[in-house]
Amino acid sequence: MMDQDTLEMLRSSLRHVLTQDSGGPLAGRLHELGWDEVVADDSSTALRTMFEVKGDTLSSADALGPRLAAVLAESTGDDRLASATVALASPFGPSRWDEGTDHLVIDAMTLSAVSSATTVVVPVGAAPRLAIVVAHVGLTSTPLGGIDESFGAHRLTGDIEADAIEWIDDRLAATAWNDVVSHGRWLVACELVGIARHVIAAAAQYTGERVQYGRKIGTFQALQHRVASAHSMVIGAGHLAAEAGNAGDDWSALVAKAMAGQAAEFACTQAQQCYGAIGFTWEHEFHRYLRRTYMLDRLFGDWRSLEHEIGMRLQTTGVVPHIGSL
Amino acid sequence: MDLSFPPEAEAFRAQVREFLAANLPPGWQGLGTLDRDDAEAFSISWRRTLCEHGLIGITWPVEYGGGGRSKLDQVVLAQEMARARVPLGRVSDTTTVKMLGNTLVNWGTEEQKRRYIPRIISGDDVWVQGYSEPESGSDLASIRLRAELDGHEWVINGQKTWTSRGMDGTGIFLLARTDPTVPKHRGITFLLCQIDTPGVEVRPITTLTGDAEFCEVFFTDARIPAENVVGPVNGGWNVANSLLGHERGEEAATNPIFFRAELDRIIDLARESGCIDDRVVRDRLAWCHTKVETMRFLGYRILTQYLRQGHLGAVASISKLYWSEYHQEAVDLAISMLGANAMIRTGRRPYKHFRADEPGADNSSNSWIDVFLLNARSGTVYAGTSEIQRNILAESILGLPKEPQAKEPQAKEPQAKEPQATEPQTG
Repeated sequence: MMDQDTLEMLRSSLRHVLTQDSGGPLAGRLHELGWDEVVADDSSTALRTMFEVKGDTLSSADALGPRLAAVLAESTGDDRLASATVALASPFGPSRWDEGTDHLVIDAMTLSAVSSATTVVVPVGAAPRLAIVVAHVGLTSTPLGGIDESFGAHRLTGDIEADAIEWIDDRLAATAWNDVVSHGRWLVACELVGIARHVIAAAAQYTGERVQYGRKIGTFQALQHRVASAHSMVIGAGHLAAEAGNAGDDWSALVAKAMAGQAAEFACTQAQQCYGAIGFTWEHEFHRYLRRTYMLDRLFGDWRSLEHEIGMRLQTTGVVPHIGSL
Repeated sequence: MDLSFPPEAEAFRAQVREFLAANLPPGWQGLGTLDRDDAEAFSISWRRTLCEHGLIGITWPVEYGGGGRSKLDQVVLAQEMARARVPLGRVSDTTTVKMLGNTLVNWGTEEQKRRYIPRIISGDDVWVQGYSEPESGSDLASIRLRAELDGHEWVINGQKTWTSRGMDGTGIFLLARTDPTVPKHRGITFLLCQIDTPGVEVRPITTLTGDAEFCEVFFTDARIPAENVVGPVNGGWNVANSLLGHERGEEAATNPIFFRAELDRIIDLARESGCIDDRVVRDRLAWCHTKVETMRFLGYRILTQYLRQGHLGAVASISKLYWSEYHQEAVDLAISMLGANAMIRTGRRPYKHFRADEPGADNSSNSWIDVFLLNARSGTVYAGTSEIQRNILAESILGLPKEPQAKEPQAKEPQAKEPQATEPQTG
């Protein structure tokens, strides 16, 4: 376990590393920080802290992609995949196998740009089979655009012939993909918690400064209650994300992500009302957090779909699983 | 509440329908089928058509170029235009026709009416609103923009903000502080200022959707003629107050039409996205349906009161709360049904930045993302925040004690009547 001082130091270093514009790829910067040792010491706290800081700073560094690859490599026992790019289902998609041409028609999403020298793992189908495409010139990577252009997500397209594809053993693929999704859900939950905390702190600060009717607007209970309600929800989401990290199972990740998505959305809507008109300007930072929240919430299932999944699982199994020490 | 319209209003309705049948493009489905440039071009030409047929300013006296018709006819006109999915004018007519035109008819001098009303009707003049200031949002009466008489001119110094379509304006109507020594509501004057007056500078504000919809307007020793006052000097607060009522009656009639059309799109979206069998979605759709139906009857009630008594009381606050909070839920439902598709942008972007997207819009993500980011979320802020509306209801209708006020040098007057920062576009 990390003590409070170590954690503070880690936060501050991560803040620096994640918001640096230059200094090479994130992996190199993390390496200089001694990240591997930090993770070896207490991976749950280290990763949670990194993604909370990422949310707080609205960093666009692709910290998630490498994590997904690491989990895939570990889960499949295939070390080559540790440096691969893991593609996710795209809103434009799906990727599909074309029987007529014997080609894989890829339409997927990656968390950062893909170069032609990259190995890419692409999910195909609902219980996905996982295709490995090694450094193929036929892959095209274009910015996804959309609600949060600064996030850095890209659309990956390509029409790849059968003999350029290697399939991950189907028996391994299902479990491996489940691990990838669960890990992704947990980390995105942490990032959403980081965003929500930032949004609440910024709204609290604003209401403590803005004056109308001769008083700080934060003295009006209507606004106090908005910020306080959001805060209490995010505290819950934060604890859940921390417990899910310790537990490391898919149920915990599912619940943590559902809660974090809802909490971050709620924090944004409450904060926006506190800001009034200034919160609707491009110039104010708020909209960037709002956009990021909606983007992240939609990765690995938005909170409403996840709630649905939680309900279905509870109904089917008739069991309420524990989460960590909760 | 009386749900029927008198025969003379129904006769006018028939005339309007005839006009629409003769003048709408064949197969017209609404501005939502057009991209922004085409929607703008259509609005301009459509306004010209309305003007040629005497359908702008129909309640204004004939001697100033108006139609001399009743308020009820105006409501009928708004209803029929909404049903036919065409606007009542350009976006800037919210401030030009509804706000300033009606205010001048009520408060203007003979000379002002003769000078401005015909140009407002023809569309030659476009007036924008200068109410809010950086430090005066909800607390509008605290405005600081100064106007001082110097001989036969007002000298204006200060800043206005959130001026909708400020860049399109040929003139701006202002609330200015003309007497800083009296209680804050009493030292305010309603002034008219041409935009090209030396010392006036308009700067666009980019909204979170990336559009330049609002402006800041800066005044540095801008000089306007002394006669450019509407209503009494230092009596601008009452002038500003009267301005709000003009659009509320109309919107009580048209809101249910626009929000119904939007909800029908949302139901289509539920089908298109395969969510229609989802129980949560069905619950939420049913909730939206009951709200829109309630809104319709609330509208009739407001309309009845407006037409019988000629003014709107605090019931206008109920209406504002009702549609703005409903709209956030409805658009949230649409966004949640878009699911991952909300991550990407497809289709045309909405033409207008307030309330529902134009009728005829399809369910592509661009329509819903922009309406979600700006139109719906800002509805509980502009034209009086939900918090202000609830204060008004609590204090004026329920008679609850007022919140203790911070000590002010100036006497406090009832907050309930405060007109709120611009509502730049009605639905």
